[in-house]
Amino acid sequence: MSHKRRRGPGLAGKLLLSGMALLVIPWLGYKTLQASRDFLLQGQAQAQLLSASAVANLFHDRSDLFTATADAGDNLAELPLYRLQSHILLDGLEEDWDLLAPRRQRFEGDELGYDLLLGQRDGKLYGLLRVDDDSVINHSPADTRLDRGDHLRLYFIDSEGAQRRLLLSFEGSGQTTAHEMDSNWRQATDRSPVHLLRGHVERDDKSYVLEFSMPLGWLGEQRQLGVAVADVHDNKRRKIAELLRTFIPGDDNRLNLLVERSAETDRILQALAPRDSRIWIVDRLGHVKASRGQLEAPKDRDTPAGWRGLAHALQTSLSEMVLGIPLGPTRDFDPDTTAIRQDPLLQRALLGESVIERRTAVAGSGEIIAAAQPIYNANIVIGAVLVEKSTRQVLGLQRQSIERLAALTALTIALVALALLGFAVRLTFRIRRLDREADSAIDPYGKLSDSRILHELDSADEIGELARSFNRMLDKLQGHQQFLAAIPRTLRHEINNPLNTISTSIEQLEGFDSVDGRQQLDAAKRALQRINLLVENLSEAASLEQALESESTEVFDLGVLIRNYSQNRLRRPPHPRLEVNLPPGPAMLRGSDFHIEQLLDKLIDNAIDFAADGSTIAIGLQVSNDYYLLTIGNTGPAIADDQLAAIFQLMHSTRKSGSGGGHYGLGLYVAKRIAEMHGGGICAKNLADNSGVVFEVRLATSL
Amino acid sequence: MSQLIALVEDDADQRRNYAAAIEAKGYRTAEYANRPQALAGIARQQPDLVVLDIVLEDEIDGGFQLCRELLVQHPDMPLIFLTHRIDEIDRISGLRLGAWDYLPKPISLGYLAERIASLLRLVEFRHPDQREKQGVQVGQLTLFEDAMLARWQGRRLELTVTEFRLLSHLLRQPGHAVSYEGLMGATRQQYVTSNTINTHMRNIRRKFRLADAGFDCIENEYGYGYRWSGPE
Repeated sequence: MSHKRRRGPGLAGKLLLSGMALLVIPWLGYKTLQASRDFLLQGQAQAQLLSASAVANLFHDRSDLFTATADAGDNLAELPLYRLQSHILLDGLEEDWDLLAPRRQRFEGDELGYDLLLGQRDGKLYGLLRVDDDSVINHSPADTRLDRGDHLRLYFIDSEGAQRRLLLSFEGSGQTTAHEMDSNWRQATDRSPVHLLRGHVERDDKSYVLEFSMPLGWLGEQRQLGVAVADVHDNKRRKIAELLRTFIPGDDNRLNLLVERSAETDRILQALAPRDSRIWIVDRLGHVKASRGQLEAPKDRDTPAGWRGLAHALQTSLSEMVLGIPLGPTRDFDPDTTAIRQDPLLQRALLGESVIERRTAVAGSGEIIAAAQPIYNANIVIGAVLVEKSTRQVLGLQRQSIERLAALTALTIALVALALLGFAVRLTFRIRRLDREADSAIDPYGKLSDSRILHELDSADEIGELARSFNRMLDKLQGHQQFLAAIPRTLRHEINNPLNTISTSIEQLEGFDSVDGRQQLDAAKRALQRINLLVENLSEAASLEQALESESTEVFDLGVLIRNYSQNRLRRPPHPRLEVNLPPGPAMLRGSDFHIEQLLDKLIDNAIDFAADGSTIAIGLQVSNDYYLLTIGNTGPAIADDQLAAIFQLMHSTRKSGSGGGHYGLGLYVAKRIAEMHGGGICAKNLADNSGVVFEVRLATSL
Repeated sequence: MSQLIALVEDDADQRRNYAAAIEAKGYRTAEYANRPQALAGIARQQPDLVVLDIVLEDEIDGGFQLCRELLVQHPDMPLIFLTHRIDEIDRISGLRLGAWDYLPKPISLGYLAERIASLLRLVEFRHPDQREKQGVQVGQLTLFEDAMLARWQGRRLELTVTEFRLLSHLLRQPGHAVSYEGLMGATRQQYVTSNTINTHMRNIRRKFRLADAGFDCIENEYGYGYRWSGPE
């Protein structure tokens, strides 16, 4: 049986395709993790708000800590005052300002320009200036006019509220000299220099660096300080070419507001010493009073080396790409150098709100959760606590979870896919085997063979059920087939006995001879003979298979048989005209010779019946690898297309009924069965021009 | 006293017709409807010849069994199967049932009577005194026409009467093809097809090969009949 194999995915493919649905699991997991991250971040923000509130509690009603800049005037330009981490040597070198160097403030005039940095340590105010000046005019020691050379002016308002003017002059690299000045900045009010204001100048080609220090206690509560650099170009005339101030010139009572950190606040915060969050205390104006802590806990482990390092790098870069976790530490406002925080968050907190905010870090990488709480003094907001924390910890947690999830999912999917594949392969194998066994239960000619489904019969599942029902079906089918096969024989059995009775009775009747009775008796005997022939033919067709099975087949030369047959056939009436075309060599066939003879009988009888008068019947034999192709053709009427296959059916006859000659639609059926018993088949074809019919018989060449 | 023919046939109508025809030829008959009756009757009164069917009432193979039982007691008793179950006899003929002949139903009564008569004559010829007196030699084959016995290379072939007649007909013109029609006539049976001839020929060949595995003297003339090709 040749059935076309349909294209399409097999069971394994389909199962695996369905298994793709598993891929939704990691997606769901990712979504869940994202939700849990948001939840965690929210939790963190709430925790931060709580700790901000706790810190704020420490500062409630401590207006003393926030008074430093209170009411100092809002419009003053600010000069930040940084806390110095290390001791400063007044040597004109910038190295000991190291960390703060980037925080220098730049002042730019017409031709003059300088960087300024102010710091405090141990009750002293330190200043660092780098002045761009390629032609430094030193103060001449003989000159009483202190302004006839490059110099530095310091303005401040002392604790008494009086405005003070101090001038630092120098006579080359080295120490500076400071004097209290008159209001015109020409003469010193006191000839003796101010020793507590010390300074040092160091020059190079393009600029000079000036460091100075003075007691911080000089400054009054207003904390106002101003700086100005005077530049003298002309060595002869020694006139000030440009004076560049840090404050708006013209109103000497309004200097710069010095913004500094509060030492006590700092101390209080230090006690809290948060490890993975940063606390800022700002006053009403956003000036940073103190700050402590890290945005995130320092990394515990070093980057491993070798393969693990590579894996680690891959992992972290992956997590950065996928999850947006920055590789490096989160960078934000520097707690040491930031003087003022003007975040909208703080603005709101200073209005009395508890605020939470998530924002990207100032340096652009990383994310920060900020929580701010107002600090009250008798119901008036005097400042705010800002607690900041990087989201890295939460993101890190999420990353770990995602990594674990990814690993688990990959493992699970791999296992499930493997299991599915195995299952599918097993299933496919079982179904294929069942298919093979089911196929072999019926031979190529549609006849049930004795083989049955052997495997799967004990399987409890549906395939086993299928196999069992297959066998039940085959058994029933075989029973039915045996029943069908037995019908003609049973018929003969049942008909022959009454036939015999009739036949013998008629013979008895013949004894009572009468002329009238004779004719009827003869007619009855002819009818009997025809019935008998019919029964013979029927049972012959039915017992054909049995006969072929029971006979030991033999190997014979089909060509010799055909030649011998056609020669004998020519000699017998009606002496048909036969044209035989045989291959040159022997054509050995295993089979039953007189059944082949019978097949030739049926086909040539058929050809003679339908051949046009005087035409030739062509018998041909061709040899191919698998088949002998025996052709028997005659000219004559064509067969209708829908009849080409039907003529081989049992009891099918296109001849007119009553034409006699023992045609009962058996001949071609018997021919077909004989061809099939020889591992072949038979078909009828009309010639291309419908001038005749050719029967093609295939017989298996395998011996 | 005329010879006694035992008729074992479960169909009463047929049995009566046989009996009438046989008695008309001058024989006496004893009728039995089944195997036990036949065994008992034959034990009481031994017939000269038994005609028996295979299906006997509810015993499908009653005739075969009866044949065996009778031959145990009377090895030389002539037996004729008269049955429609020719196929089965074909298949077990190699088992040497010991029947002298088998005739298919339906049968002509005249033919049945003639066949009985010739078998009874054979009994005479097969009598040890008469046996193999007038043998005809064809090559290595010896035919004793009267006794209907054949020997190949001196060894006896267990041929039925019909088989002997076919062989004898084939040997009338050794080397010449004999048509199916001729062979059909030689069986002296009704309703013979070429397939019946083929079956008989196959059985004859098989019996030759029991005696001589290399036997190869009966040739098919496809589309016509058979031919004896052995040396004369």
